[in-house]
Amino acid sequence: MEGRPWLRVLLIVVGFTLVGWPVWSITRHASVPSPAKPASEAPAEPLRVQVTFATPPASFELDYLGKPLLSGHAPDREFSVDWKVAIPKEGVELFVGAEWPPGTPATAVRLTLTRNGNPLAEQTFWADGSLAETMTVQEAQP
Amino acid sequence: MKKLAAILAISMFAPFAARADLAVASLSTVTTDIAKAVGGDKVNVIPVIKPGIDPHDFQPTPDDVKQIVTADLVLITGKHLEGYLTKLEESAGGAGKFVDTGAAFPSLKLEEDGKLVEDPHWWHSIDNVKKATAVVKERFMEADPANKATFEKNAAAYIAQLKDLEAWAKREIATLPREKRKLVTTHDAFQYFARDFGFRIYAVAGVSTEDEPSSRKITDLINTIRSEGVKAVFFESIENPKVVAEITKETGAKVGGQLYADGLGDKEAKTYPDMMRQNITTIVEGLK
Repeated sequence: MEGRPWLRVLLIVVGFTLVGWPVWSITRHASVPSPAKPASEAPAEPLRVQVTFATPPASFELDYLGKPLLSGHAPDREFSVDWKVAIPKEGVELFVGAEWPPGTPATAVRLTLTRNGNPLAEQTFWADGSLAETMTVQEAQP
Repeated sequence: MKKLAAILAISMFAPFAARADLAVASLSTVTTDIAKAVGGDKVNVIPVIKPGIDPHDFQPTPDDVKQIVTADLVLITGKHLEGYLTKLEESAGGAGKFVDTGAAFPSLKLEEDGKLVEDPHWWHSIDNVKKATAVVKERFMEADPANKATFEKNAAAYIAQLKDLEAWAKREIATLPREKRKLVTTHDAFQYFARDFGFRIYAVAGVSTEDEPSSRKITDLINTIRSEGVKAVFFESIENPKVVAEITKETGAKVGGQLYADGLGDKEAKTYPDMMRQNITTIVEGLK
């Protein structure tokens, strides 16, 4: 061995490779695909949102990302609003909260979304005095 | 003489008076909260697993076994979280007094190393906790029919609290865009939460805190965090946060904060509703 310095160098190189490879593979900044397309890059489209109550509520609100989109109270039973939003592949979520006067029996609420007059999503919720529900709207998968 | 008779009478009946309450041992901080809420002052709840103890690697001590053996009922979360259960049932003379609160609803199954495993972390679904509360109420009423009305009233009050919590959670999480609902945690404990609230989970380790992640898995996770644009990585109250610090250093994601994955805590997460509020606030603020 003493007479073969090239062998020592070779052993050191092999040793470093064996130890270094797993460390490098964990810590390297791997080339990765570009981040998921943010929602804002999807085109915003005009939608119509309609909320229909079987029993008029004392108060109600429809929120998107914590901001009110629509609100109202009795005696009206139907409310609607035009809404422009970009729908990412994960979908968008609407929150609907409502309260009825004490003693109101179980009642139903229907949320309908249309695009160019065509149904995009609809859901019925049952409520017993109050309602706090969400509805997810997603594009139909091909 | 009358005085002596009175003392004798008191000393004869005192042990029975002390046993008037139902003694309930609890093997999870979550079932302890449910038992205290439903039992009120009619139940003596013995918390065998206390906040900060990891239920995945817990092993009962002889003192714990003694408490369990002498209890009237023993609450477990089930779904194979209590790996020592068979031995405990043998010590206690059978499974009769064990109340499997997790049996009231179906399990989520996760694939780990090619095998399907049951996810035991069902308490991250508020709806599951409502069902578990109903199970505890029924078993308390069977064991102590004299206090049936109290248990019914207390359970109804607790379930009302859980409904309020659920409404708050839905409103709070609705402020977070769905494309940002990507939760990176130290172990895979939030799948029930993910199912209920539309999140995707990326966990460093498996279902148990005892699972050791491979370097390959960590590399994949780092790549996923980068490609999915995940904003924050969360650590857990009873786990070492070092691995999370390493991942954030590699990916540029921030440390989102501490989550309570395996049970309640000492400070801001002393009750189940407090724990859920704390977790949800941390997640929403971290990912916004």
